[in-house]
Amino acid sequence: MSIAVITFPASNCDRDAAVAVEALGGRAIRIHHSETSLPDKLDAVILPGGFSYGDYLRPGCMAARSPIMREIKDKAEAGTPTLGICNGFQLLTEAGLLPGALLRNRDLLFICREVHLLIERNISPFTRLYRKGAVVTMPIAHKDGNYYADAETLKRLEGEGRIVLRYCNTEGDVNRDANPNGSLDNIAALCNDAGNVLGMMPHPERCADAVLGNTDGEALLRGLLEA
Amino acid sequence: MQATIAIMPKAEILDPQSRATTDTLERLGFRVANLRQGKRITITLDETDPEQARDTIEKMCKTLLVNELIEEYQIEIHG
Amino acid sequence: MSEKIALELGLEAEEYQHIKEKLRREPNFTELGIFSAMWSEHCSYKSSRAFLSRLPTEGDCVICGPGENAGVVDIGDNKAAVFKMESHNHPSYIEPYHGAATGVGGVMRDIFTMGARPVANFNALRFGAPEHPKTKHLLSGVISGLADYGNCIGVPMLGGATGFDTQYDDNILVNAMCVGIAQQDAIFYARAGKPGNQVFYVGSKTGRDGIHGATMASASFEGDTDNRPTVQVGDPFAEKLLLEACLELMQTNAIVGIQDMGAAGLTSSAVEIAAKGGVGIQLNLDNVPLREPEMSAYEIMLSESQERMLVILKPGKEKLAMQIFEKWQLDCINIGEITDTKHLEVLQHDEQQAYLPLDMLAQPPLAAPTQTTTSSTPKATASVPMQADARECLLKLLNSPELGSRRWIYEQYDQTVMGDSIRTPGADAAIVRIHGSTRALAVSVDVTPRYVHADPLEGGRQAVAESFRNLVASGAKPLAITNCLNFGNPKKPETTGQFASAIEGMREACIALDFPVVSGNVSFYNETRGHGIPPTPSIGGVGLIDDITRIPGTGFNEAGDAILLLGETHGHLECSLYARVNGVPDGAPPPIDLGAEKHNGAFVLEHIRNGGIRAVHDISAGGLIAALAQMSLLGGRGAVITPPASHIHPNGILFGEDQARYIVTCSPEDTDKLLEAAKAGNVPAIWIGTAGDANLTIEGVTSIALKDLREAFESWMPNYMRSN
Repeated sequence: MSIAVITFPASNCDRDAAVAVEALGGRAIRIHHSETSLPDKLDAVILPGGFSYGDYLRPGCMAARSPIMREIKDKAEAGTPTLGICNGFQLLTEAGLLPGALLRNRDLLFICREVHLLIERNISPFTRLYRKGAVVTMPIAHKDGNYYADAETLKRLEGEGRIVLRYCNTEGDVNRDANPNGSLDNIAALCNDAGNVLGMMPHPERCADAVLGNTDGEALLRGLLEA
Repeated sequence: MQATIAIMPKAEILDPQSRATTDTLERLGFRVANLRQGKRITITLDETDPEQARDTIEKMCKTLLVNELIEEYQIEIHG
Repeated sequence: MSEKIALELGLEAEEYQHIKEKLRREPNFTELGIFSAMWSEHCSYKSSRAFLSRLPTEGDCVICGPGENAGVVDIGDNKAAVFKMESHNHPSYIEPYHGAATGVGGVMRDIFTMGARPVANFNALRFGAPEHPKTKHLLSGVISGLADYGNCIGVPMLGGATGFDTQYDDNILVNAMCVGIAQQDAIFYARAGKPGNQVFYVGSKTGRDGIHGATMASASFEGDTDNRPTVQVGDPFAEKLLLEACLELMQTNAIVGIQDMGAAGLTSSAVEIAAKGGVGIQLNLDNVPLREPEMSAYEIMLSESQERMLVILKPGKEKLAMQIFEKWQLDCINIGEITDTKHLEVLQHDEQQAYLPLDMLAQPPLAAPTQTTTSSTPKATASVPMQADARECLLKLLNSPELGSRRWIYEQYDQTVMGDSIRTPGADAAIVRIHGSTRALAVSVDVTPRYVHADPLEGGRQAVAESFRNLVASGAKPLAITNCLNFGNPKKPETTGQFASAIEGMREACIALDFPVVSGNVSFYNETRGHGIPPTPSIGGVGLIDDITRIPGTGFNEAGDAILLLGETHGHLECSLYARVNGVPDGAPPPIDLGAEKHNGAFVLEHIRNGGIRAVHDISAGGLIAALAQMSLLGGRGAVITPPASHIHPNGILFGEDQARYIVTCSPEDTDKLLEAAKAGNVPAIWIGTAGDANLTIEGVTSIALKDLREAFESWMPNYMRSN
């Protein structure tokens, strides 16, 4: 399985994503944002976390207009699994591949901690290896992860079952106390209507190595690799 | 030709930054009825026709400068 | 040029006379500016050099000691750890956000300039009393500045030390440390090479930021913070690009030498690179990329705009370098060449703006050594009341600026980016895996200013010993340290006395523990209106973990585990947190037995390696009971403790801050074996209890529910930050 990992100026989880993919037996192909094409034989694309363009203007907005994005959009629309993590999620909303926007966190501060997540849907390929309703733990590390969409969009997303992960407590209750950043409906991850584009604020690539004490993210990457 | 773009979060968006600023001002003893904070961008163009300039700036806003889902904007063109 | 201008630029009258005599002419304004920057305390170490030379800088692991951008130590497998700590105290007081941010940026550049990829950041912070009107503003600004810069670059911030004391009300301390990893055969130094080599400027453009920052860092505060033009603004985005571009260029065999433009900007980088090589350097300022129009030679030479480097390229490699920098959207421009004149020659608008001998710039006339008063006589010991309620004291300390959780701070730092953070803040030392290997580095930042203030000699020893202990407690072999020596005004005999004694204490500890100093920084003039800070030599220790599967736990993770106390307990309370919380002024600090530190440390390491020890924590501020509480919180389990029978008052046993001590846990079956081994090895060790309960119980004294401990520990800082 070949997965393209894109490097935008000041992406900083590009190496982490590539390392995690390779550790699970996949092949990570590093692509610089100034490229205009992706390899033909490609099984998935990862838009990694970071602070592309310093998060200046709006997080992800300038990266969303990079040369490589046209090709990424074409591939995504043709069905290539595309995973946006953190800054990659922000970028997907800015690029119009996912609805809504990620605003400054409710408490205005950067938050780095482990959070509990409810597997709301087990869609292929991303969360198919998790049990629906399971509670997993992954780290978040962001300042702008407060998911917003207008009421109508939100209703549609809920109706179409496109919310994939929600912030919850250890028991799986989705409530305000378990919401780290103010996201509407505790949304931590959502997908497009075809289900092949996923944006998520938590970092699965940071919890796929037993040495680091948590491997809850491994199944997500494995789902992508073994699709 | 110079243009100024004022970009504000839409009224219906929860805006924690403005709320924090309001709280702080009130803590300092000021009374604030309403406060919104946004950003302001000034652009100088090699353009003499104000209509053309407005057109260009409008395009810039739609393409990059503004996310209309969460922000609104106003353009001012100065001689 | 008049002497008046020289004095305004921060030079001493004698220094000005010296310049005139040596040059046999009047220096012009630009030249005076260059002298004043190069001869500032910050760049020249003129007041500290004689003392610093006493520190041990050599050891088996040392590849490069002080004198380069950062220290380099051997960590095996052709890899090297490159690290350094630096102060950004004055800028952070004036503008906390940008001051702290540029502090992180500057120290990271010191690391990647040498060819190392930064892998972890740390900091040592000291703020004024929490109730001081400025403290909260300074604290939140500094933390956001550190966080935003490091987070954007994508280097985890893995820990540090944050303290509060009214003596820092007007002089906060912001010390930033960075650790990087390089290939031993690809380490880069500030080298000029041969005359004819071309000098390139890479990175961001030059503006009027921070002109004369080095001079600012070398002058006392007059309580005037409306001094904003000298504050530099950091651009972490540019630094991330510069980092990637430099590391990419370093792979190409194109570089002769490279030097960060830090304090005193282009001036100090050019002077250092050329003076070290015994050559000359000519700079043409017309080629320097400028952000603002019409900058004078003086301004360009002294600008402290951030995210810039000077690179000496091998002939023929210019095009390659330019391509790499273009890819990363940064300037890479030829601004001069190495000459054989042994002079710094500055040209602008086809005119010579400065022509100065490099040996003179690099060697300021040493001021007559200030008289030092010996300040190593410990303060008289105050009498500490013994009747205080232990439970109340512990909860008060946990719920105070002394021992309260720093979670509010460290959750603002990205701790897990780069995917190698094995141990994040909250325990003795941070642990970061050496990428792609099964080994790791442990890092700890320490100093106990109340000890150093009470007795600089003992306090200097203790700071090094505590760093050593924290590394041992994480299973690491201590390798070497960096330091950041924050002191008051060196023109005062009292300050130089403190400085000399603290250095002597550090020297003894470094030698005894085989723990050399490989890099460092001195920050003097932390003084406002005559009031200086307590002497604060921050120590950043780095250790090596051979096998990441052998890292001990940090807390009471296993119910039923035996808890042992290693090291001798004397009940020393005179300079303890117990004394502080009971309103007693600081007395003499606990004596340090460096032999015991080394001996006990070696025992702990050995039994971590052979698996006998399951969890370790060193005993420091707050004594045994604070360490037990911390282990309960980290492991999520309480313990039942039987205090050893002793003639010492129970509060002395529980709160005494005797050194060279550890709490270790082991499986019940291993207890006797471990105690016997300790006895055989002459390491004082006693069984004190068993882990695993909902409470931390000290028999005959108190029993505290874990949730009460947690509430006390976790609530101080969030409540403080929320309060008006």
